[in-house]
Amino acid sequence: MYRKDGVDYFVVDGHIHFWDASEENTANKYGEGFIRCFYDYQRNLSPQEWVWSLEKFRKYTEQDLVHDLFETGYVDWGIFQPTYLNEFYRSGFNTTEANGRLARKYPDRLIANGSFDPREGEAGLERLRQLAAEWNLRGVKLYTAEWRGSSKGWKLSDPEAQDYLALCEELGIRNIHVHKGPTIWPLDRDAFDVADVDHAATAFPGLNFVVEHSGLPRLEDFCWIATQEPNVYAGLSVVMPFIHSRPRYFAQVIGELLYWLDEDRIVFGSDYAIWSPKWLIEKFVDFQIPEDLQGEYGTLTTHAKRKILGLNHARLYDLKVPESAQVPSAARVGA
Amino acid sequence: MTAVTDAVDRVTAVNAALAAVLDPELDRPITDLGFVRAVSVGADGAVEARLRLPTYFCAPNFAWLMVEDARRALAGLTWAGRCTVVLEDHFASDEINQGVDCGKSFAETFPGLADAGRLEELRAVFLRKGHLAAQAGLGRRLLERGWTIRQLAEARLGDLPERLTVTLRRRRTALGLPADATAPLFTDDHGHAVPAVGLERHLRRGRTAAVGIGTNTELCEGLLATRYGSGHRREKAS
Repeated sequence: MYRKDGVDYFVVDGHIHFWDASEENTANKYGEGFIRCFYDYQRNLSPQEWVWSLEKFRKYTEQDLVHDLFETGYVDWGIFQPTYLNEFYRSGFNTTEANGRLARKYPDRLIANGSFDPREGEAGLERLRQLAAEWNLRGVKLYTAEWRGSSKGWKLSDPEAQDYLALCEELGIRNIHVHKGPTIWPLDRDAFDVADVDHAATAFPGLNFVVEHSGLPRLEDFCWIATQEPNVYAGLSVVMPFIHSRPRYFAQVIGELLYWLDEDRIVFGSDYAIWSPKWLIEKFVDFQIPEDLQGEYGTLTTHAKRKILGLNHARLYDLKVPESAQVPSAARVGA
Repeated sequence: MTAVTDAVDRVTAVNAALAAVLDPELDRPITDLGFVRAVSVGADGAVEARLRLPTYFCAPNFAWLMVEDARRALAGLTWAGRCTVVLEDHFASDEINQGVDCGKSFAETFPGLADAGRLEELRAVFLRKGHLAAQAGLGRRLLERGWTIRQLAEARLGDLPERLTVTLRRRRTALGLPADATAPLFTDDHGHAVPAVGLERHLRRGRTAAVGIGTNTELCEGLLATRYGSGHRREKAS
């Protein structure tokens, strides 16, 4: 919980990782390049005092995570989004198993999400069942741009994916986090293309689709879909740190999202350990749209900040919110 | 003309040629973005340009387009001999450099990982975004000067001074859409005039597209500076 000026902010960090990119676990030059790329993200967009040594960044400890999220970072709940990358890292980069061990240890603070790949066919469906049973999954993180054999990625609109989404619904996995981001592999198509989310969101109105990084840099395509599909959400990971060094861009992106989606469908994520929640949350609560942009975008209200930082995620993941952190009912949306 | 001024002129010409190459995703010249690390011209007219990108994992499809376009731009210099473009520090550097150098296609270079023709589609997608964003910027300026939505909807390219429509006309030409003085100022992706009733929405989408492109550019420029130091940036063209 974060408290500022007498207001309580319930905080759900919807995008965290517990990775291992130590030299021992790094399998090849791709793994090496990948972690250095992540590290540049941290160095580029963090305040200087929040930049770690590369050594710590490659492999941080459970104590680091607990400290940065819960002891100093105001986070009430953290949601792990796995990134396997088994071809880059010997025992995987950031797996449901590694995340799940921590989630089991802190069952009232951490949630581990799973993953699936519809190209695994029947076997993959069975694997998803097992994963859901073992870790009590409420969400999955999907990478549609990964290639496998002769396949150059997949789409949420593919026929095979429909079986998986239906199984998610059956198993109570309601939150589908979709990574639309940089491709790792040589792909000729646009891995950021969000059109398939539109299809899936229409076909599965009972599922929530959280598009990570708000579809950046395909912001207008994402916003267009989100206006038409009430179960599509904007995840703020990667967008958040702009608040420090490029606040006008942050204001514009938030302004666009508020215009097209409204404040009930924008959710906070730090992308820890790339960025740490503490400074993101403090700056966000203090943030306002610059005056000269308010004509176009209006202002960011305290209610909106409370929803974005935690209340919206709490709704998606059925998390209990203390009364002090609720927004007055008139400002709530119909559940 | 001395040999020295000749060489200087040639380097200038190389940079000017490279300034016509866009990062398709960021809708900006690679020279502006600091992606051209070095150029050299040999006594025999051989030209080499060395490119670098913000991350090791920048999407190889866009990387390919920039390397290929750069090589094509250099080959257009009448005096140029052998033209080489080298992409540095990228996970697919070897494949891309060799593929472009041998005149292969992306699909031939990455067999099994790409389909023929898809790359041009991708390029068009981003040209359309740039086209939309350019219209939003223009529409906003005109509205600020007192134009009405109806006037915007009826305006032709030729109604404005050329300097205001440079980007718009370039993107339109690249997309194969009419870019003459009689073409509508505001059009959809197919070159059809946007009616007044849909114009505000059209400009709104364009504004959002511009914010997306702008934010991505900030990220990429920041990452490039993080990777290589901040002295990389050349003076902006505009």
